[in-house]
Amino acid sequence: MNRLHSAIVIGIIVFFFVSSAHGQTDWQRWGKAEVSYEIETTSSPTVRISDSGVSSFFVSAFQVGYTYLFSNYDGDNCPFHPTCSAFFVQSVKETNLLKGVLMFADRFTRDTNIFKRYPYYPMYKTGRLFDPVHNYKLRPKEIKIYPRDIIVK
Amino acid sequence: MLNRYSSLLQFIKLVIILFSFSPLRILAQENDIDLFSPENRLNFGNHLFCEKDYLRAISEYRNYLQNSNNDTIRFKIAFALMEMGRYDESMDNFKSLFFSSELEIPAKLSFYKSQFLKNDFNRFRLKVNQQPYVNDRILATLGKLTQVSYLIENTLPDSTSFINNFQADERDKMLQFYLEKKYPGYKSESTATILSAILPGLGKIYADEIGDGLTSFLLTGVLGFLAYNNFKNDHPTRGWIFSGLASYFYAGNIYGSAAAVQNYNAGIKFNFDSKLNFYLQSREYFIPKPDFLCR
Repeated sequence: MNRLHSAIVIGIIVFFFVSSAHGQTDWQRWGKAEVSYEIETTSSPTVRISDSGVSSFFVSAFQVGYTYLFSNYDGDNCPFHPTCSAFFVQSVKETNLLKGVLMFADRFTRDTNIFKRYPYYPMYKTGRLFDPVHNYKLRPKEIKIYPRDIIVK
Repeated sequence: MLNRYSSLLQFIKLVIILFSFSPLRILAQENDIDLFSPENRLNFGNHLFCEKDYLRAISEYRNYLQNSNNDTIRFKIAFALMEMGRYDESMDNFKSLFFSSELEIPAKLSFYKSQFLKNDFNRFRLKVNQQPYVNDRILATLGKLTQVSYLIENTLPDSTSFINNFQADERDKMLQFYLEKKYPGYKSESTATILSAILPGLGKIYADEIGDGLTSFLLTGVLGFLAYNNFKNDHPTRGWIFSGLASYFYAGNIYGSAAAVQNYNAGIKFNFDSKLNFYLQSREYFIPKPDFLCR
């Protein structure tokens, strides 16, 4: 039993010795850390108002306006993929300005309906609800139905 | 203490006994086994085939066939290619079994199944009608697949000639598919558009999107009321802004109703195709399963 006690005592001494040996290596006084809690912007808006056509002008003006007025303050909160602004841009590019504007109004209505979320839409790989442009272009052959229990990649 | 020492001794004895036997077990397989012999390749290929690792199974089978001639293995290679979706290659491999082989009938059936799975139904029906490889023993099965090809496409034959091709236990289900295809319950885009123009959101409710319909009604209604109220209270600028927004969402609601009906109809078609596919797979496309396929 004496041996056991001795072993325990030696163990404790060694433990504290190692702790103290590794306790302070920088020899600087501890103090209050100056931490910034600001989240750095990882991407800067690269969209500029385009003058290469009527559609491009409206789309880019909308993108710039939406980014400065809403996205920067509202944050990354759109539940859909593509997000509403991206949906608008994509729909104008894939159809025309008039149709794209109407598609955006329809998308905005779907976005406003907070009771229709998962599982009424399939999930996109990023965790957002998948609501693609090609299903709303009034072109039946382009409509693609996704089972609601899958994750779209 | 004595008990503790005796149990320790027992443990040491056990360890010694175990370790004295273990070298025998480790050194047990030092014979000259040819792991790559044709028989071993065949066995490994069969194992891979049963595990549905078709690519590697084909590789083992092809190595085996370098030394042996075996129609079953040739059939399995063709079958594996079909399961992998390489239909043209699979059909060519099945053809090699059409003459002087015991597997002629299953090979011919699988050949037509490959052609069917390619989804080129015109060519499939052409090959069946031209009858280059058709005989009485496979005609009944091909008749069924031909009718199913009509069901997948939008060219339905008369219901009697359709249903006569199937056996009694298949008729109820196939008649159900036939009726679903003929009367799918599609909704009209024009009706949805008109309904939405009369009352915002009604077209979406017609297209089974009740929540979206109510949202659309509320959004347009609230904006319309705000426009009316601002005009009434001598705020024409705000009145025009809200009028513009209300008109915008009103137009969007009409467009969205037509899109919702199209999605509804596409959903019906998708559900029908999924059900039919599931049924065909569960019935193995009406082709009897050869015994040697471990499925």
